Amino acid sequence: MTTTLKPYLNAVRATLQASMCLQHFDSRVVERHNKPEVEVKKSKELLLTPVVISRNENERVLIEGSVNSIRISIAIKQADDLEKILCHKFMRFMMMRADNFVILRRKPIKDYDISFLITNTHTELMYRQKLVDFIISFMEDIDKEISDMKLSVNSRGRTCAEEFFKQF
Amino acid sequence: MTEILNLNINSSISCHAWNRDRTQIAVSLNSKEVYIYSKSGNSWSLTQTLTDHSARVLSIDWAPQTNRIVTCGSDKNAYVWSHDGRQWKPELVVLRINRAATCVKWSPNEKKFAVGCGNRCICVCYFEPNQLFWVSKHIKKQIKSTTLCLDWHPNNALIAAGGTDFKCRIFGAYISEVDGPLTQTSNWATTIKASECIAEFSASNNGWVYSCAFSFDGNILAFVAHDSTVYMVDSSRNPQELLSLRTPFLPFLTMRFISNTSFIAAGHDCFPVVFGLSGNKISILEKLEVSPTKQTSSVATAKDIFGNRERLNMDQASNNTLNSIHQNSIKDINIYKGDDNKVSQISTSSLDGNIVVWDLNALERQFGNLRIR
Repeated sequence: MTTTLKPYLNAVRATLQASMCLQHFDSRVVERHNKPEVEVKKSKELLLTPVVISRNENERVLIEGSVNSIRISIAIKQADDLEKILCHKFMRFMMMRADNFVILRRKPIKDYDISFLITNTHTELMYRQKLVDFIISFMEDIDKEISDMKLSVNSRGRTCAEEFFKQF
Repeated sequence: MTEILNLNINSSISCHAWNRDRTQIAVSLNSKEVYIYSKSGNSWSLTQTLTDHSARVLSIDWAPQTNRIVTCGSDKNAYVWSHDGRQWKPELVVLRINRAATCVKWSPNEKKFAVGCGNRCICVCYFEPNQLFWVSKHIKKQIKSTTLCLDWHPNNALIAAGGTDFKCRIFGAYISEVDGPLTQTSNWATTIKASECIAEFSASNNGWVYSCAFSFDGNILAFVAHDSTVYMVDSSRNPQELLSLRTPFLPFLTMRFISNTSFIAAGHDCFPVVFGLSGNKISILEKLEVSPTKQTSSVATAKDIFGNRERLNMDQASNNTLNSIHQNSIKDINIYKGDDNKVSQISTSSLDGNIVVWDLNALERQFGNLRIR
């Protein structure tokens, strides 16, 4: 773990803890409806100022708050084309199964790779501190996961090439 | 010192209300039902489930003298429940609103109650004997947003309301045909006109006002907002001057006065904090962080210390239970025991499904700084 990762994750954790203070709020626009205000954005006073925390220009987190929901969007480090493809495939795999991940959003926000939507229902059903831990450990693991995949793709490529060149 | 009520609830509790002698409790479990538990000996048993609401119940208030319950919820309705000797019977209230009713509160004389809603108005409701149902009068002036909290002044003529427009206002809520001639005056206004805005205070850092209350003598108005700040106005000094204190805690969701100058607030930080006003300065008197495991004795053997260190190091990564009795946001505080101007016990309900009774006298002895005047 490099030295810049720790303060970055700490900043994300502190911001998440403060912005995950959600409560039940019924829609003012539609009768008997209850919607995540951060998605509908119908009333300006119910939204909080969005926060971007960035480690460098590729790795950053956008946290948008509102009275009953927050949206967390993560941009994941992609150094080369191979990482780009791996990241895209991996995120697509998860977002297609978003229902099983409960807080995962089916589509990411523009310019980000993956988005989470946490509403007051989630903070009522689950402990808030565990949700924060989940997001943080996700951010920790995802880099490792992608570099692992990159290594295995590379080594597989090398083995294939070796086998191929054996015939000459 | 603290006692967890054994109601066997596994779901989050959004609000609770006590009857006069604290032998019965009404709770809403974030659902459309209201459960009435009553105490028999040391255990609690479910006596009735009130099922008339068709969406989540958001607020409950129990009138101590007349023994009536009023509930309101997301289904735009409020019901007054009265006990006919065997069970609770609902009476519908004609609120004339088309958005969720967020909060409800009986007036101190229990002849009327106020309902806050998302319909940019406050409904002051009273029983109309000619038509035999509860009718409402709307306070509409200057409200452009959802009302989240309400509290009555002890003179029954003023009401404080806070909402998502970052403001807390005081309105005249006097109804002459119900209250009779207005006798008690207050420092807030010399003349009170019905449904007129008397004072308006802004949360300075743009936070939604979650809870507001008048002190027992009605001289002080306090409110808490999403900006983690507590606000107080002392009308005996200057009814226009807003005092505030920024706190290092997460936002407070609920508050209650426990004496004429001090109040207790709780919210997303899962423990209550006591604030006091002296002169024109608000100060944090004490945070009531009572740790949930009290069984371990203070004298630990050397072996235990080493054993614990081993375990604690591992726990720091994986174990993240909070060091407080409640494990999730506290949504509601009620007075459990106390006289006119000094509260000795309070109860808190939380999203983790616990209701805890706090003995403030015992806590006062434990925490040195806590002096409730």
